[in-house]
Amino acid sequence: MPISNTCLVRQKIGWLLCLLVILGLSVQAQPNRSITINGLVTSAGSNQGIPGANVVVKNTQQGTTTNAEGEFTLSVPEGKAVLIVSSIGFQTQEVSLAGQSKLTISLQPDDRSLNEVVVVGYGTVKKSDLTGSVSSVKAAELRQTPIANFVQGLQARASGVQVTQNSGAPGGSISVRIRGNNSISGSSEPLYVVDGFPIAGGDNPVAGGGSGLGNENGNRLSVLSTLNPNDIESMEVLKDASATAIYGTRGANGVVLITTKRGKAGKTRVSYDGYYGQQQIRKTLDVMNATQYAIYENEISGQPINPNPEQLGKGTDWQSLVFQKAPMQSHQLSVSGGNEKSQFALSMNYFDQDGIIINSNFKRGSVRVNLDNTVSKRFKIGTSLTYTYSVNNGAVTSTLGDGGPAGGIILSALTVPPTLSPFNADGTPTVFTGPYLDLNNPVALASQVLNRNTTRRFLGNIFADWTIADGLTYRASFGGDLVTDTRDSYVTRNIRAGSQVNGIGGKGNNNTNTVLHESLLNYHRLLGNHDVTLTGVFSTQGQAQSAESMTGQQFPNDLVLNDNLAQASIVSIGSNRQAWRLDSYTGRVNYNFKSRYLLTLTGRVDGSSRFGANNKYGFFPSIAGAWRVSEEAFMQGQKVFSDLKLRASYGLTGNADIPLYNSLSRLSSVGNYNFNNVRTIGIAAANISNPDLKWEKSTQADIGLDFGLLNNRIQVTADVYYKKTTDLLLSRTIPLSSGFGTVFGNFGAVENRGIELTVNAGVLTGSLKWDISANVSANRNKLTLIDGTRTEIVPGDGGSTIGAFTNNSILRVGEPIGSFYGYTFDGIFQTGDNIPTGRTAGNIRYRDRTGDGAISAADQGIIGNPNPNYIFGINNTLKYKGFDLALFVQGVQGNQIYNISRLRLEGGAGGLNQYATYVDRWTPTNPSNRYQKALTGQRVNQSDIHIEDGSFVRFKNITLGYTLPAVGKMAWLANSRIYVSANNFATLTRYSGYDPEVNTAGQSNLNLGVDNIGYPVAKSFIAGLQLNF
Amino acid sequence: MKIAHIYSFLVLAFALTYLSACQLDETPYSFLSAQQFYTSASDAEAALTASYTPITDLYGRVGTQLPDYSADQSFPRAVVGRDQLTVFSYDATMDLIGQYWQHCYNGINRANQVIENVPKITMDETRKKQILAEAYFLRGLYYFHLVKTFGEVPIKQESTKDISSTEVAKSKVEDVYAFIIKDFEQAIKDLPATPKDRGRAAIGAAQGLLAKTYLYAENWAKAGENARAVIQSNRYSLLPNVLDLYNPSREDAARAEQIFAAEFSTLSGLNGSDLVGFYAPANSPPVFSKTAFGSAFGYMSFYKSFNPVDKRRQLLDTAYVNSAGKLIGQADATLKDRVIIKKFLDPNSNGANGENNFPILRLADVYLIAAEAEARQNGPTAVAYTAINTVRKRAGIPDLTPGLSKEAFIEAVLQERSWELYVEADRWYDLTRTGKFKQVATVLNSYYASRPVQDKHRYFPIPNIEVLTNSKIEQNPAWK
Repeated sequence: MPISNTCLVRQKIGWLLCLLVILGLSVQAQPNRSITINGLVTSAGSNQGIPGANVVVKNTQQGTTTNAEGEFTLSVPEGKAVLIVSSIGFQTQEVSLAGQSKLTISLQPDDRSLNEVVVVGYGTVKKSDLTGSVSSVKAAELRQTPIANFVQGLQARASGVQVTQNSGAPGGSISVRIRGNNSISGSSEPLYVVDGFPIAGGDNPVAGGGSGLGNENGNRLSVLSTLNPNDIESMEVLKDASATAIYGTRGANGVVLITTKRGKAGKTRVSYDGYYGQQQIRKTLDVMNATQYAIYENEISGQPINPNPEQLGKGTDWQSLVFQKAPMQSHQLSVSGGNEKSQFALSMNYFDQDGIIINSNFKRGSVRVNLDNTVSKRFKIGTSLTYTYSVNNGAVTSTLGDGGPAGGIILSALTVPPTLSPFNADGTPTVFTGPYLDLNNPVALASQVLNRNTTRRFLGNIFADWTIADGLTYRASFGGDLVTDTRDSYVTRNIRAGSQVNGIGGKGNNNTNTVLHESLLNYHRLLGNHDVTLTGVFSTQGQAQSAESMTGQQFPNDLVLNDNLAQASIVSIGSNRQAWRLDSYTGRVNYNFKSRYLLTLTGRVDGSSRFGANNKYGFFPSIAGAWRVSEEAFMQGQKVFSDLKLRASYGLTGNADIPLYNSLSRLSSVGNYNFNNVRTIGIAAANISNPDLKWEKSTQADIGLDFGLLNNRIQVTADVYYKKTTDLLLSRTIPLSSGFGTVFGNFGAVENRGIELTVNAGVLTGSLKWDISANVSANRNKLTLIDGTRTEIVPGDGGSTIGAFTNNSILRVGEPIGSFYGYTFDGIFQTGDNIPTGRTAGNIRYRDRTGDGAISAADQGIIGNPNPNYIFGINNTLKYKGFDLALFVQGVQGNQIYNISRLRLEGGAGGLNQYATYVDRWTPTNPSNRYQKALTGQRVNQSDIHIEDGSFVRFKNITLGYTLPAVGKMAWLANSRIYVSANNFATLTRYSGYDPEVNTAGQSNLNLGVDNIGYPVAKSFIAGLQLNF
Repeated sequence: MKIAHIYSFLVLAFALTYLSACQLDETPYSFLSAQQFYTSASDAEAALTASYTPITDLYGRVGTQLPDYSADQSFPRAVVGRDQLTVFSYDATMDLIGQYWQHCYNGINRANQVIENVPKITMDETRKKQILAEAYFLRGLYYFHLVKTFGEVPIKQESTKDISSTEVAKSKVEDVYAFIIKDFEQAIKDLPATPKDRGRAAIGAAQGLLAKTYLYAENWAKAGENARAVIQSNRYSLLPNVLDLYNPSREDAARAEQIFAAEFSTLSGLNGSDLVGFYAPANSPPVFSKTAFGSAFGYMSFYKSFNPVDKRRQLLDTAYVNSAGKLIGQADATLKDRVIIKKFLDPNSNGANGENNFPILRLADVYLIAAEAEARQNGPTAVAYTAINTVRKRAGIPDLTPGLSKEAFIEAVLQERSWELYVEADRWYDLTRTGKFKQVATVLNSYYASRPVQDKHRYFPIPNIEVLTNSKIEQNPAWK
């Protein structure tokens, strides 16, 4: 490829030049002279020293923190230095040093400081200067609940952000929707930016190899689980166009900025933060016992297969065999500190969570090194490096075909007849025979399948800041995210998928290497009342992915598993390589007049290799303004509002989550043929090309209001937004007669409208301190266009087979994406009813919507909506002396769940155990109007009877902690804390399944709220210890 | 600002501009782009091979499941909805129906790509013509499958290149037959007498299927003429022992009779025949297959319809010795009312993947086409009797009673076809093309107490997904 080679050479030369310049600069940099000052920071109310306050020399990175007595020592440049002194709970103060070397700084208490700095794209702003809609989540909030994945910490913390744990597996799949579902086929997951490095939020690209058992969507590991949440200082969620347009084609789904902890000058701090706890299933589901099953089996077969059902009693309780009480623990050791010149933060973490399904667990070890060094007055360098090693032993909870007709572990535990016994005399799991041949023993599924993913991830960047002139800085950063995922799999002969081929095992590797360069030029100028900041960024990010997989079948025995694939008599291999690149040119103007009138303009040009030849570059501008009414002269007399700001923004963002190479017609091996008993390779077009392929375009308007009452004891942020997304990426189903199944292009449009409200209140501020932070948001999603010709795409084929859930939702213009579609249940045909041909008494009656006297596909309609009416989160924190008590409540209201498991478990089609409710099925003597009769092979269609209210209010966390006071010889333990907490300890819901927080289809945009029995969410009880030295 | 700084800044700016001046073209690594392909003889062969692939996709399972589970010879165990075919409860959303349709049209589109792109490739002209002839043959073959299964279907004469060309209306059944006939005739012109490789189509395959197409299109004269041409070409002969036809280790010898087949293989990267596992009863010894699904069995009534001396009945069984050495008979729950089908056994299978080729056209079929066509055109003549008796003789049963009426003779041919071609995806189409398909309603057993077949089951419904996405197509009226 001559073109790309040239490109590579150019890139290399470019990097080299950059490096030379930076090296040159660092040599040029001159150290300057400094003096040492001593100070004391006190609270204005009590005159007591404030420990841990930040003291920074303005316009430099030099700084320190105060000691336990509030004292500090700092080296400052000679001349007119200005110190910025800040501490949580106090107003930040600037102090000019006029030559003094000893001073006392008294800070005004301020519970909710508006001077708090908020991280935004390519920079930071003071909270008071913010023009966009941004929610922040701090480390303390993140750590309140025990989490494997930092995204869990966002749940119910930020308005407009819906976080759903799709799978309760340790480290399992999570979906995040910021202001609704913007896409059909593209990802709707936000962009995550870790210390400036953008990473995708999609589930882990699982390496191949082996049977694929346990490898489906709902079983995936969240890629974000491979980062250590304990290293995070803060997370900012960017929601409106003003905040997100600066991320161009990756901004449309919102952006989550993650800032990790950095060292501060001063005393070296050592802290240990650990907990240990136990998790368990929230509840088990009632299925028929052995007696009830035997009666059912006799009834459906018409033969006395079980002569004496009553004698069978309860039989095997499969759920009790696969669920366990599972421990989880986390240990974090952090050391941070430094001097004015160099600061460091080091951490080590070990996280180990067993799953509530036997033999499933997730372990992660990580280290982090964050360094900052002030080389000279004008030059600073720094780095953030982290390496994690995660091992996930996944449970096979997949419910697609691979687990056998009864599904994965949990579904099997529900559907395998209780009349069967779990173990042979020698303790090995039973292999079912005869009529139960197709079923997998759930215990075997949990113990005889190796399904391990090992992920090694290095994420790091190195940056250099150069102050070219006063107010003009340049930052160059280079980063890399190197992820290697290795999959080990083996299915023994105790599982159908393994016995059919005498064992199947595999190994696969997925190497995903992403590199990033950013050049950022920042200019700040204060001219009288005009405050201007200009930011320009060039960035280029590229990713290369390569994958190999090996699969062996026909092993002599199951002893070596996948560790010697050469023993397999049939081995197949595969490999793949792909790459993408994104070049971006970004600019921003921040202007404010007297801190009263604020204006932000941003623009980004993104060029992506993924786009079709006709659309290589996209432009994404935004504008936002804010008016701080409270700064106006006429507001100075009033006492009601301590802060009042109006915000408005409008802009364009994109979503370029286009699978690679989709604009091209790809010719590849679509299948081979056997000529002369030799494998002959066949090559044909695998898809239709689309040179017009481009990003999805979101236009968003947002109006917001921020106000503070009672000297900001109560702070309220409210936003109203409207977001219209056009050119939706859609892998549109096309007629199969074309020889293809789908074509990928920009077709539809969707809109999201919503309101968000966040209230933070200091209810009590005395010695008993009570803070409430609450948020509530409501989003309405509506599909407005499919492709100009069609007004709906209904669930396609496959929907008839019990348990297949490829497509349960309809895309219909005017309705939310994900709407459930099916028949309306209208009771059971009773003997004597006017029963149509092909149906008999005891069959389900569906409502004849068309009124044509027959039930056909046209009688289906929208039967449910998986999108909630509103979601909320409320956190209460109470502090009294050393004690702290927190109660965190999460709510999701008005959504529906398609409990697809009931198709099988109340279907009465034979061969599988049923929910206990099915005891009440129709028989000639029990004319049930709810459950149809038992009949081999009968069809059960998707109908509203399986749609349930998914609303819930969850007590996510209650924590009781005690912080040790500084007492005598134990003073070194001051600020150390012990706590106990209960998580997910109570969930109020009418949903009949394991848990209302469920989506077996993973991060899919179409199949939302589908419960085909995945990995249930657990509740947990933990005890923890935080030591600070 | 120091001069050095300005200088550095300029270099940096230059470096970054230089850096960003790369093209954003996507470089494919793991596949080819359309510009790179269709340039050499090997590309032509690879494109043609891709057109063959849907044959094994089709006969991997669904190609036989759809017709055979509907008919009166075999039935599925009631798992994953296959029994819907037997009890006629399926509708247009059934996945198997969609798969059948999709495999055929995948093949048609790939054959169209060959027909459009290969002529411009510089290569050996003789082979080029053969490649094109094979593509015409395959296109005809796929359309034949579609028309007998679905009736009116869209005729795609060109490959799909962009979104605008994906929707095509249905054609009348007679137009589809005319199109198939044209394709087979085109293929006959350039196909070699003996195939270039085992597994490829030769003249006999195209002409034999042409005869069968004419039979279905009820052009008796042409059906007879083409069937006789295949027989008289003397390129094919009936295997003396009918059992040898199904022995995977004698696959090549069977090519004397096997005119065209879906070529399965246990080789890695190829489709193996799943049927070995399907028909192997539970816990059967590896003589059946290394893996036994026990997914389908024969009806006892069909077993009993055979003359006990009929050698073909030896490919059915009412008992077996399981892997534990226990004799499993009709009294056992595993085999109650079930007859084991032993046409597809492979002791050397890879799991449930057998070497066994699936017959699409064999000489016995051609003899019976000749017999039926002759009888329908000229009555039960000596020619017709000779044709059917050739098949009966090989099966070891006496000649057909002489002097039958035309109707009785035709009925006898259809019965002979059932005995000869059972579970070879043929019987249901015989029943539907002759309007006798509703007689399966009486073929019952303890698993299937009722089979409410209706007029609409003459053809399968057009897959729902096609109706939904193709605005130019309407569901068959009977299925609306």
